[in-house]
Amino acid sequence: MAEKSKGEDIRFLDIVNAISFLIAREGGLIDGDISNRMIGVLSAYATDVATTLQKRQNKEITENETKQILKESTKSSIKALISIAYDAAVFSARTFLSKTFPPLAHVVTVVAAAVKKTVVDKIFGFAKKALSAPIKLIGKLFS
Amino acid sequence: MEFSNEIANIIKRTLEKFENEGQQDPFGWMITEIMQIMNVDENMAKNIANEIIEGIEVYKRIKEENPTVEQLTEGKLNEQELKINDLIESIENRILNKGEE
Repeated sequence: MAEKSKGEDIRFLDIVNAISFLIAREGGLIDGDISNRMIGVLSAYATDVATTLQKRQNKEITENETKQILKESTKSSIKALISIAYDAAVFSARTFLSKTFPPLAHVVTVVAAAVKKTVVDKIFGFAKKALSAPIKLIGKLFS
Repeated sequence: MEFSNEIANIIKRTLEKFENEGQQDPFGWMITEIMQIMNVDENMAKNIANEIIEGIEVYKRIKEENPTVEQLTEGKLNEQELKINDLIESIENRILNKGEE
């Protein structure tokens, strides 16, 4: 439940970003195949990028530190999207095979890998655009 | 208006709305917003909120533990196959170049 995370590691900006990405998805700006969990990933990533860029603007960190933090954040976001897409593909493949061809259920990981390739390609196309949004936000909030 | 600008505008408006309405109870505000945006009841909104929070937690856990892609996909796809480093460089350049598409 959402309540279980109260006061833990979820920041209010994560929530604001998540609601924003939901609005964008419902408005057709984001591919409808992007799941709620993926929106969570994008939200946390956007928070990290915005926070990092704000620190850089305030000269709290150097340009090299900024680049390094962004690199790690970007890598984490992509890995998280891949992980979620892979889990979803495995689940879909396993569900499909168990209902239709139970003897073939052992090939689920192969099927999942193929399905995942397609899913990941879509994510990458989306991520290239969506992950650029935080820098725009910084410009709007702090210019 | 370009895509990332539109998203940034939405985030800015949402942040203003949150500051006006939601600061006392962020999670309650989140559920109310989900109910309105997706036209669902409270239980469904809580489920959606939970899934979103799971995604946030996955990101934070991966950032902390830094597993390889191979570890995440049980060795079925590796980082080279996914060209993950090319993608990271591409996104980095977009961010560092003011988010231009």
